Amino acid sequence: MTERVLAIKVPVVTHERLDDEVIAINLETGIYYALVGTAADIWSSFDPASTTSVVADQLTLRYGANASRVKSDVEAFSLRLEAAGLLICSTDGHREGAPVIPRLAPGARWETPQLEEYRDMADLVLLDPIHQVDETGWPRLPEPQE
Amino acid sequence: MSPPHSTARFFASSRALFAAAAEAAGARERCYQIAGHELLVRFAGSELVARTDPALGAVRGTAASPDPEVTIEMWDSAASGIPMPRPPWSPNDLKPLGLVGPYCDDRFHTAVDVHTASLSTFDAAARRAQFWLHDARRMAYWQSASPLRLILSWWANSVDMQLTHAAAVGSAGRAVLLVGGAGAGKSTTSLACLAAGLDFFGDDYCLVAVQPKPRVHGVYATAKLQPAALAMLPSNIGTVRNASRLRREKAILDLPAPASRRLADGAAITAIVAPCVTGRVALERISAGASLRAMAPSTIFGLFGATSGSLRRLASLAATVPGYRLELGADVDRVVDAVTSLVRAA
Repeated sequence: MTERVLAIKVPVVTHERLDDEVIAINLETGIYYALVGTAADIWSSFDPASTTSVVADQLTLRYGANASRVKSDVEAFSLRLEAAGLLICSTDGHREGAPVIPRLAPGARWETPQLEEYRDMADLVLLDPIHQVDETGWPRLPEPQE
Repeated sequence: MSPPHSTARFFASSRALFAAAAEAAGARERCYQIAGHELLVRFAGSELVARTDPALGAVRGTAASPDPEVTIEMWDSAASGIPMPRPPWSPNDLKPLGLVGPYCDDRFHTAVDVHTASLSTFDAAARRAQFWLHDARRMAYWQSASPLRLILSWWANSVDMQLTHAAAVGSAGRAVLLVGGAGAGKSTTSLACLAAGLDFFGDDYCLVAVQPKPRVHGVYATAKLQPAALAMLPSNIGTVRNASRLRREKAILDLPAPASRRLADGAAITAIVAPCVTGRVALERISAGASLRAMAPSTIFGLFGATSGSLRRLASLAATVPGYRLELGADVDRVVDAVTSLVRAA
């Protein structure tokens, strides 16, 4: 069976990496995420689209870590990223180019990746625009202020 | 999904509607100079001028050029008697934040703001924008305090700048950005610094240029405060424009001209400061990633997702300028001292 190719769900997800930290913002859910260290490296490894096997192999080499542990962590973490709507199964298959990952800091070791989740902006997207328009197709007026 | 070619047609028909509205309600114009760019705002009727021009008073220019950087048309149906036709898109085309999916691309930006019942559009190629709402007399108070935010955000992105959810204060041509979501302490801190003699560039949204060097420019000569925070500031800091409605609204302060005298000049950004209320005053360095996390989400979500380059611009700023966490306590003088030390540290 062909392994699934996973990709970052752009443009719904906007993301940037600074050193060993990634911020990923899901514009549909209003939730944003911080991924540090190994989590950031896994994230960057899916840009461009890739498979968990390829990512695990690359990161095993990068960290000089136990291959089965890295593979297990990458698989579990990518499932979590999919569940959060950050990664999707790519229909385009592998894309050209290699991931851009900064040089590993001296002494860095493989650690189980963590996904830090922030929901303080989620209220902004809870108001459903589709159901806030009236029969004219435009938003309903707010209550008078004076 | 609406066909893509209908976007240009929709923008053209909107311009015709504005022309009719201006004819009916009376055309007004104001010219504004923001970060060295000239923006011409054309109003249909006087009510929208009264609602929006005071907040932009510090960047008002003296005369309109024959070729402004961007022309923004503002109109409402109540003053003009011109109804807005039913939108050409389906409600299902509206994305969660209010962007109209099929009417947004690299050139065109279209958003319906359900919080304020208004429509904003921007055509980057034609350098034209439009803002419409049903009735200017019912404009949301926060929209009147920082008008045209979405349009200015799109325009800024088109000239490689970023409208940023941040306060900014400084002196001698240098400034710090105070970043964070609602309630972080941006307004109270920036107004306390203004009261202590620092220059003020904004308490909520400022314009940031990252290249060639990070620089902040003020746009709005207003501030929004929780009413309880007014007691922490001198009574002459500004004029509260909505004093009778403070039970349900934040206080909107119009800042006097001397307070906003440097707002239009802008200043070099020397630090990004993420305030948070803890009860004691303390300052500590944070990583570039933590700076970005404090600055980006409220900017991106507050600007309906902004545009594709927005997060990259903010990340570039965070990578260039040192970041700090500023714990806020009741000792306002110590807070001002901490901010002042960062302004002078560069």
